[in-house]
Amino acid sequence: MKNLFLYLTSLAFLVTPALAKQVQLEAALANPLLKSGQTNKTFLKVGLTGFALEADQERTPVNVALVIDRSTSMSGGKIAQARDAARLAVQRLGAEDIVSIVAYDNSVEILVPATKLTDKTPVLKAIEKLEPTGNTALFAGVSKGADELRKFFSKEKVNRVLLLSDGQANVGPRSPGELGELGASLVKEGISVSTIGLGLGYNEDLMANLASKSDGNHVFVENEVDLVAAFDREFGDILSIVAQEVVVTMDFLPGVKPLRVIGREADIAGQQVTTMMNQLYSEQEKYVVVEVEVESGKVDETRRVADVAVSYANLATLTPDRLTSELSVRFSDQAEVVEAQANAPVMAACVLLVATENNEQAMQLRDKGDIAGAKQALFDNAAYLESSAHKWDSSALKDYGFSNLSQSAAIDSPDWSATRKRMIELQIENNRQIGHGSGFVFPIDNQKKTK
Amino acid sequence: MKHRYLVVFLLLTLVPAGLIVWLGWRVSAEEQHRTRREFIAVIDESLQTHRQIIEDRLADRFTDLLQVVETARLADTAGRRELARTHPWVRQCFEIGPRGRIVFPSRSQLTEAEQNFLMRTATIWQERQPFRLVDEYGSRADSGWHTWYWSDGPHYILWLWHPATDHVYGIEVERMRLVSEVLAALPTEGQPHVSIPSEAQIQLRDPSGRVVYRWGRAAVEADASPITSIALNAPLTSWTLSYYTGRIITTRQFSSQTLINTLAILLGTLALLSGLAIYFYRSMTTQMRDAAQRVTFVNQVSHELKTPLTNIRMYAELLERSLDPDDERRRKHLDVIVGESQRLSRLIGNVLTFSKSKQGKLSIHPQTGCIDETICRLIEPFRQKVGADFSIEQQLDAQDDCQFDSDVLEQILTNLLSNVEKYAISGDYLSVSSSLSDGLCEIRVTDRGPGVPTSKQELIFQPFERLSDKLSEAAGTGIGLSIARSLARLHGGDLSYLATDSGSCFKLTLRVSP
Amino acid sequence: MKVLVAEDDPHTRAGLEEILIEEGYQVIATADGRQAWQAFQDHSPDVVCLDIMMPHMDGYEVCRKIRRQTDEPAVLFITAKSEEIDAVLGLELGADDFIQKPFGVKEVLARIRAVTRRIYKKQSAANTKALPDSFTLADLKVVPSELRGFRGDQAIELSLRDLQILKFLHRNEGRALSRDSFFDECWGFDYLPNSRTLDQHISQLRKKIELDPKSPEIIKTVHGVGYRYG
Repeated sequence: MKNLFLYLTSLAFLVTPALAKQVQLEAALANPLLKSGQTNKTFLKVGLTGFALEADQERTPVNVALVIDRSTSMSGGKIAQARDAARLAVQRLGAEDIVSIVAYDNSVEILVPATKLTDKTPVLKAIEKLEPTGNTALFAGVSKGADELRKFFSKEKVNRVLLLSDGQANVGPRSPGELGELGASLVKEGISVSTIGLGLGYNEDLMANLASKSDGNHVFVENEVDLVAAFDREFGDILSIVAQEVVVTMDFLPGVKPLRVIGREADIAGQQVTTMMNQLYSEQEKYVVVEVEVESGKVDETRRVADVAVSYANLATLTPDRLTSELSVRFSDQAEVVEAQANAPVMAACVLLVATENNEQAMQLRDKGDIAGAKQALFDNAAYLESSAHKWDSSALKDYGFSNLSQSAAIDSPDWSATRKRMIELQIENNRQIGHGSGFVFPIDNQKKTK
Repeated sequence: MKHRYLVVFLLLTLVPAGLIVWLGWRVSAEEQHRTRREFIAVIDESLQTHRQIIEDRLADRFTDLLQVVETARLADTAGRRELARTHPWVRQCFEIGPRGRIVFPSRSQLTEAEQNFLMRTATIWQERQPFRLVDEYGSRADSGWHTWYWSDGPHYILWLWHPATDHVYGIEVERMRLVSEVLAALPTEGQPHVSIPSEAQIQLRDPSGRVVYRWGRAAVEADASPITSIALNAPLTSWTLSYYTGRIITTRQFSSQTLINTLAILLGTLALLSGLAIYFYRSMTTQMRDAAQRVTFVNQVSHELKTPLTNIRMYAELLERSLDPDDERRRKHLDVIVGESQRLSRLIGNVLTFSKSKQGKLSIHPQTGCIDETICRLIEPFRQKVGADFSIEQQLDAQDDCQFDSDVLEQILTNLLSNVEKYAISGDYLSVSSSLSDGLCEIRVTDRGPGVPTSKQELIFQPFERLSDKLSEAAGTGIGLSIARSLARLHGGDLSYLATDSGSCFKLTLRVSP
Repeated sequence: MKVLVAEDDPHTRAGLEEILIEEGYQVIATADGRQAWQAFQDHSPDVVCLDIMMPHMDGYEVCRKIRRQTDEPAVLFITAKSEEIDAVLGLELGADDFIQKPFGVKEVLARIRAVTRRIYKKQSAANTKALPDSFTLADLKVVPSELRGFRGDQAIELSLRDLQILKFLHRNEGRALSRDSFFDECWGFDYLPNSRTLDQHISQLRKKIELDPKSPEIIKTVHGVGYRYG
């Protein structure tokens, strides 16, 4: 019976990669071997990797709303770069795509209502009208952008609001919580909001909250000359989405208690953990990490830990797919063996999320005014990352260690605002595994472009 | 005299002007009031239209949401959680048993989101019956909205009472989705079908008075008060739509129109009254000046007569020059024309002098000359006119140069000679004598005509008096002697009639300086 | 000798023009002050007759402008009002004389001749121009600068035209002169000939200068041709 289970599991592993155009599910425990005779805490990681797009394959059409801040603070180079960026976005899209452009200041103007991009000229012309005026009605801008998406809303398209702002929202709802609630509601519709914060004047908590609650990307662009590149990356992501409406359900078996989900929103209801992702990108891994408590077991006991089920909408085949996996642990009384059996990549991923959590806490200390405490916390975090990087052989941890170290150094400098924005950007990047996408794009109107 | 008129006219102008301005101001104030009422009515309609737009948009959603509540009622725990996880409008589902017991979410097994929900809604559950309140008609509603405040603003619950179980089922609405939906329904800038004036702005404000959304490009100050506001319908009863106009526009729209009206009335009134006043003032002064003007008129007319008279005379003379020397008959005719035109010019001269004397403008301009020479110059043409049968005696003894006005003397003598010609031609006799002594020149003109009766000897010097009104009498204006005497007196002398045995004798004296 | 006439009444203007042409002057007639000033600059007349009340520019103004430029021409004002005479005399406009409306032909002629004589006198005093020489026709001594002829101590008023005719006859003593040659010589080539004009003129001239106009001694008629002296 046990063997049959193992067989089935291994079969699943064998079969899954063989099927073309399916998301790859990889569920693993940080410690597949646990110390017997004691209650253990370990991490469960559920990784989902989008399949590769092939060159002859049609990508998923996108339905994107560019929501652009044109308040007076955007004057000068910023608005010019924003125009360039918007122009680039339009150029990258094809005839099957839908674009709308919303500009906001005190009030909102829809420069381009949602339209199929069969003719780019009027859209490019409308972008020229982007001129800075007035205040920042960010909430209304996003609301209108989302409403433009709804006009052509389809689950078979990528529906995305791309928000560019350089300032505080000062008209309408303006707290990070309120914008987060908006994002949380939008993601339930299948709309993500990617936010690009430009310069040092914007509210990073608000922008980050809006993006992470709606499962969008968040980018900090300190200098407007990098804006076009940021747009480019974002569109690289948008155009490489292969799956949407991803729901990960983990049912933990008795003797295993899910403690918390790190870095993502999730429902923990008793033994069941549910979390959602709005999309998966091609050749990019997204994962969920759950900290679990495993009751003590006997030596050599094998215990089923959890059944993992993933459902998603496959944008290549336009069918709902379902993947399953089950996880077990064994127990050993030899500490060295347990240690050696640890899954290094999973450990690295988990350490990154924990370190990110530490980083968030350090930032909260700094926000409360405890600069010294924050500095120390970041320093400690850097040390933790450094040692973990070595232990689990992870360059990502090493990099983040350096980041924390430099953040620790910058925390009492006048440069704090930029540092904080960079910190938040990295936190989201880590929690949601942003920026690892291939960015490889297949334009829909290939023929048109080669002409 | 003039000042009194001026005061009267100013009173006549200013008092009614003031009265009319006041009335105009009242009328325009009333007009302003009315315009404002109408304006507000229009704005109200505009706001109601927009409220309706929101209403229409939300109505379908709310119908759906009631269906969702019904679904949630039937669903199990997992279903309810799934609903909250996937429905964009649903943040949380709940179920309340009788006496306010919370059935779901169950306290025994709470997700983090559910814990947060219970924390948010803690104040609600302090009431035993928070939803099914008795309304003003004494009945209890079976479903409805509940709004409560927590943290940073209002939150909304849609609930439904289930009679069979006496449970209340409900959902907490994703409030930001609700707000977002309202905003999505409202117009954006540059949307052609939403017509509000460019200088206006409509604002949507939340219960804390914070601007959530606005459209219309007017510049509205943060502390400006709206022209008018209306509240939204449930569940957004504490939200308002307010209509603003730009600061500058407000004054212009109402006051400047009024100001223009008032000014127009004021200016119109003043113009009218000034016109009337000027008219009356003019007509008064006209009357006052009339006498003088009549004289001036005569004066001008007389001058105007001179040009045609010149032409008549000149052309008659030109014609005469080109006549055949033998054509005596025609020559005589032309002589008459020339003679008459000369007489006419003399008459005009008299009229002018008369009018001058009435204006008091008559003055003398003495120049050095010889009195006798002047007399001779005048007698010569007279001699030619009257013919050889008429005897003329001259006893001239004023040949010394002296200062006198030859024009005046000429005019007096012309008049006297003309009288002889007119009235005493039958006497066939004229005598002119002159003498000069002690700065006084005396000239006598004597004829042997019918003379003047003693009773009328002074009368002849009155203007427009003639001895006879018979048509056969020679024509004349009857001012000749009057003028002659005036001129003589002006020249420091006199003209008088001396009684003689036969005919008339006029004695002229003039004061002259050597 | 050129006379500039400025008079806004067309009949008066035409009448004056006729009188003066008849008298032997070249006449430039204008209807208002502005025209008069322009004509003055174009023609430099010897005599200017100005009406006072004229459109555009009154006579005083024209006179002032003329005098600002030159003292040469004689200026005569034509006035209707005695007040204007005062002004003419009082304003030191440099006017030479005035003619008062209404005037007759004789008065105009008397004034214009007086002015012409004064001009001759002025010219002789200033020695600017050679004065026309005196000459004798039979017992008549003609003095052009005086506009007079003398027979013994009897003075005879002569017009410029008269003088031209007499001079022409004197130059061609003993020769019969055609009517046309009189027109060419004494009126100018552009004058439209009218034989009656010449005959009438000769007849009036004879009345002035012949002892017996019925059997003339100076201007003899040559039947079918014209006239002859001597």
